Amino acid sequence: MTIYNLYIFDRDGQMLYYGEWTRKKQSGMSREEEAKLMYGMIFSIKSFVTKMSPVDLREGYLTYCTNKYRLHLFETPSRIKFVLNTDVGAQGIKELLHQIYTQVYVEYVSFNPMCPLNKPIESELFAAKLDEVVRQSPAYASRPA
Amino acid sequence: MAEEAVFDLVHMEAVSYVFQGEKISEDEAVAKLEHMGFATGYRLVERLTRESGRFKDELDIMKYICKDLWVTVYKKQIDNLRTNHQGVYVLHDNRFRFLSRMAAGKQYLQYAPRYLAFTCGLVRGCLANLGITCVVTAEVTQLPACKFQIQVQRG
Amino acid sequence: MPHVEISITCYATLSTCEAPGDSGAVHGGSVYPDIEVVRGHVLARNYSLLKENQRKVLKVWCLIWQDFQVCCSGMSLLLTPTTLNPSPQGLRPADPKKVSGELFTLTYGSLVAQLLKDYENVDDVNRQLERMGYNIGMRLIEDFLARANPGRCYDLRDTADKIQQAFKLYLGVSPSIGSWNPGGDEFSVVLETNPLAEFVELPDHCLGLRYSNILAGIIRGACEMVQMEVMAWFIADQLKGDNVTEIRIKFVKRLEDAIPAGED
Repeated sequence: MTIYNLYIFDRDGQMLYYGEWTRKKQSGMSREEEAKLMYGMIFSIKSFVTKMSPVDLREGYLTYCTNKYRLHLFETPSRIKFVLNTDVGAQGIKELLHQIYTQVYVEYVSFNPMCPLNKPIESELFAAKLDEVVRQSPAYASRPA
Repeated sequence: MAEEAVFDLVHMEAVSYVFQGEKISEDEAVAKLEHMGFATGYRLVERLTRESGRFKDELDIMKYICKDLWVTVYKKQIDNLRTNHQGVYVLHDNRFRFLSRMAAGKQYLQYAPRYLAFTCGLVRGCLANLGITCVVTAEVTQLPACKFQIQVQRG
Repeated sequence: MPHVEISITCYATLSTCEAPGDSGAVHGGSVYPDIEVVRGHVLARNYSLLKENQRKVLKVWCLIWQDFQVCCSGMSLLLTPTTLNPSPQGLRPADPKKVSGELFTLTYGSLVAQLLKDYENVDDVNRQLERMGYNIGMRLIEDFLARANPGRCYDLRDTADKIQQAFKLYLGVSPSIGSWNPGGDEFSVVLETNPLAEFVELPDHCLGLRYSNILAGIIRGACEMVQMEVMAWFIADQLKGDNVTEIRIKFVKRLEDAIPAGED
């Protein structure tokens, strides 16, 4: 199992943070451009699924899978969106994203006076804690050589 | 109860309030925070010591600040207390609550003193209520550690 | 020392009495100890904890003694708790949990006092308190979501329940929810006791002050983060002689996600 990369968006669709662990190919566009496309895509999927689905998306968690990768979207009731890409077999990602939110985002952004809420996260401590949580997760540990 | 979260955020807002606007100097803003800390500490210690035992001497009071007061306010004890036995006490906190979620290392170092001013006042206020007049200053070289120096004024 | 057998018992009783309250009246002026306060502490024994203060304490007691001789004749004993030994047994240490809650109350009191000094007009203070609350609410909501995992709100009644839950969690009080308007978009949060105002008395020149206005701001800020624009304001306040403290909350509109740039 492997974790590829993570995007965090705020409620205005602005990218607050980007992190990557295993990424073999870059998109060839700027990070901002890529973020816009990613936000546009999850926005469309979400609104389409909301229209199509017979059940309410109560938990704020949505995932889809192609034959090459799996995308996980975790959205808090405060509309912070965490988008994590993994390989198709990754397990326990919903829990991992919840943990990233409660133990990393809330602690090191919400309670960090140096992090304005509507600006990209520049805190090195946040980045370090995020990296720690991701590397300790089972989905990361069992990655193939 | 999660009241410490509210305390942390009110403190954060108090800091950003005194530093808002361009007219105010750093010293003035810090003095306001110090004053708020003083008023808080002065009243807090009255409630804290209401039913606790009495103090043998000055050092005993300092130990009280490092243990009971720190636990009440910052949910941990001071890690190290040193004194020259001539009225100077240095309190080391290796992971000071108001800095602990801000950074680990030198990032934001220039802003760190703003988050210590209230506490300097808090300590001074507590001590004033217990009959000790002093000057309290703080220093940080590497977040989230910091030290508070208490200089007792005699006579 | 004469009358030792009874003085210790008497002292044990006296020392648990509350310190006469300088502990929270909002006054714009100085909070540095003046003679009133010192006198209070002499009576409450805080000030005599150190050797160097004991002579001063003794002096004050002499004066009190003289006063008593004037106003009530026939007094035979004056208890002066000046011992530096540990207190007599049977006294419980202050509950640190309780005092932690008071820490927030006291800090808030100092903040309000500072604002009263900084602004000439109480309306400006009210506005500033609301704004600070709004900023706090926007951050506190994340802590609430992470800690209490309350799930999403589907209607305003849900929201009201969650506000009630948050008061319990952060302030240790359980307000009642009620006074819904017929349209169901407006309700009240009613506090029997307001922990923020625990040690407060409003002086006459501060009657226009909405002391706890930060709470209205916190509610507005927190709701906005979960897609609800609301208005929140105080309609009753025990500090102004009302029976309860009541915050009115009105739903304004639902906020939708930002549409990605380049789409409509």
